[in-house]
Amino acid sequence: MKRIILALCTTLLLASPAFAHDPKLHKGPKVEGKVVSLKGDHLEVATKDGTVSVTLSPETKYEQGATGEQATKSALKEGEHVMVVGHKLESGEIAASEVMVHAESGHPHDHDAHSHADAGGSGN
Amino acid sequence: MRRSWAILTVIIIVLAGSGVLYLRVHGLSARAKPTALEEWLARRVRDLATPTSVRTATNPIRPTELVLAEARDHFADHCAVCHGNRGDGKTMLGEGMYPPPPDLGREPTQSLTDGEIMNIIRNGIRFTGMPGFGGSDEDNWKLTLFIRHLPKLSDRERAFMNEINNLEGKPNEADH
Repeated sequence: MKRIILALCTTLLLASPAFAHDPKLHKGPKVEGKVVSLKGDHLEVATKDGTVSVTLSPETKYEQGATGEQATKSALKEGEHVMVVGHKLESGEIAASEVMVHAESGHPHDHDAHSHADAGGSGN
Repeated sequence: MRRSWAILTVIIIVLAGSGVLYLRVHGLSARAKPTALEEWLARRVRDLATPTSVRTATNPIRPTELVLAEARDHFADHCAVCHGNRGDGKTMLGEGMYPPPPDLGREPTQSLTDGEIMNIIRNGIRFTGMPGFGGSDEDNWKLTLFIRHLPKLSDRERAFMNEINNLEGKPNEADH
């Protein structure tokens, strides 16, 4: 019996980081690609459909790695693979609410309803 | 005393009989519209079931442009399928619900407190189509801000929502 309880606890503990990084918790259209440049609050991301410009703000949250560890803006470097949850403002610019650094390709986020094309598409 | 019981019994029988007759005639179609009495009663019951602490809770999030845009996209993704991008409930699912979703941009939704709106998003309303989404308080407060913003929703914002959910079809389709 003790073994079963121990196994259950271990499973739950191991499952927690995955739950914390549940893709459903990241809402909104995504911009995915490599960081081309970061100048002040302006981040340029090379996506498969071209370069997309994203605006960072003090409200932007940063995560790092597959388990979604909390990070800061300093984690953003040229060449890093990022996934940005961006939202179009009335001006047409895309503002980032979340930036996930080192977000792996084929990550669960990819199954979400929106690709980077949603944020970088028409309407700008 | 015996007379009072007899009157009460007759009232109960008449009420039960009326209820059965009403059901036989009108059925349980979800396409019907709730009567004014039903609507009034349902709102009173909901008010009674809302604790004061919930009603008086204040929104800790400021309505910045990014917060509203984030909540708008969240709403477009999870809520608009029933409520519509305008929040008026004029969608295929919304129009077939009993009770139908209210027009969120108008009274009586706009007269609810922030705490009441947030509570409805988080816990839903039993016996209606409104599910309890749970979720994080932060997201729910942001959605509350967006519901407050609905009366001022611009065409451009609606177009951004439509890019996410395509509820209103492509721009030239929507014109027809």
